[in-house]
Amino acid sequence: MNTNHTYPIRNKNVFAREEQLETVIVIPDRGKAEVVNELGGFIWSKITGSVSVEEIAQEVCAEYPVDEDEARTDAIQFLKSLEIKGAIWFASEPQR
Amino acid sequence: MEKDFERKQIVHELSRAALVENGSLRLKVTSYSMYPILAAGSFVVVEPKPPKNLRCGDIIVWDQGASWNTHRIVKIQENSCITKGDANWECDAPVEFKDILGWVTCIQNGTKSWEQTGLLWISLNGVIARLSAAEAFWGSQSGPAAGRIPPWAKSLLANLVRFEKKLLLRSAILLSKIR
Repeated sequence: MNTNHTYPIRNKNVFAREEQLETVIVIPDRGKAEVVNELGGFIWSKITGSVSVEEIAQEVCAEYPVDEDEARTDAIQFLKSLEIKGAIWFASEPQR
Repeated sequence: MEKDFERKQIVHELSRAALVENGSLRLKVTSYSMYPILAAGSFVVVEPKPPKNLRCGDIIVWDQGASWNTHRIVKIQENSCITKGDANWECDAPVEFKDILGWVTCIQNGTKSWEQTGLLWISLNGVIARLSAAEAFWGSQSGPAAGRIPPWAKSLLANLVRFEKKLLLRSAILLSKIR
């Protein structure tokens, strides 16, 4: 499955709070807490289940001065790390 | 430093919300005060429990402001309880019921997992709590036994109780590993 065309969804057990320049994500099932930077927080805010990885990468490009390929690679890497930590999962179809 | 404290507070608030909403929370142990049953790096699953259902021997997690602690109840009082780390000699300051987040229902140590809700562990935890209280009585520097009997006798009794407690805990851990 091509990750670009998948739709990341937050694990419903995960709790997060956006602060000024960072976002704190608590993953209760894993006993883990993650603090992500401003860009990570921006990506986190786009994880709704109805926005694809590709669209997230495009929104990152529109918001930050980064190359599109670099943004895509970084976004995928970040989202996969969240998946490994149990914070999100990828769906093949958008969730309404 | 202040930022770290703020982050920790946020993590605590979110974890507290997760515990209430999800009904359980997994926490990583970061110290050896409950050794050998809990070591740094092991995980505990915490679930809420009403104060009236708390028992001597239950391992509880409570909010101490700057940190969350995980120790065993050795005595229950009217609005609070006395806790002690299995590896400590002294009891902690009384923990008010309102500060208790929950009790440990499962211990996950590597690939092993020990449910604390079964009859074996409930009974064993009760015995451990009594031995732990005796250990604090004889072993504490400022406890009631201090000054009443010679220090060498006090130390001997404290170490005997500690040995018995460790033996019991290690046997239970071994038994749980075999089963």
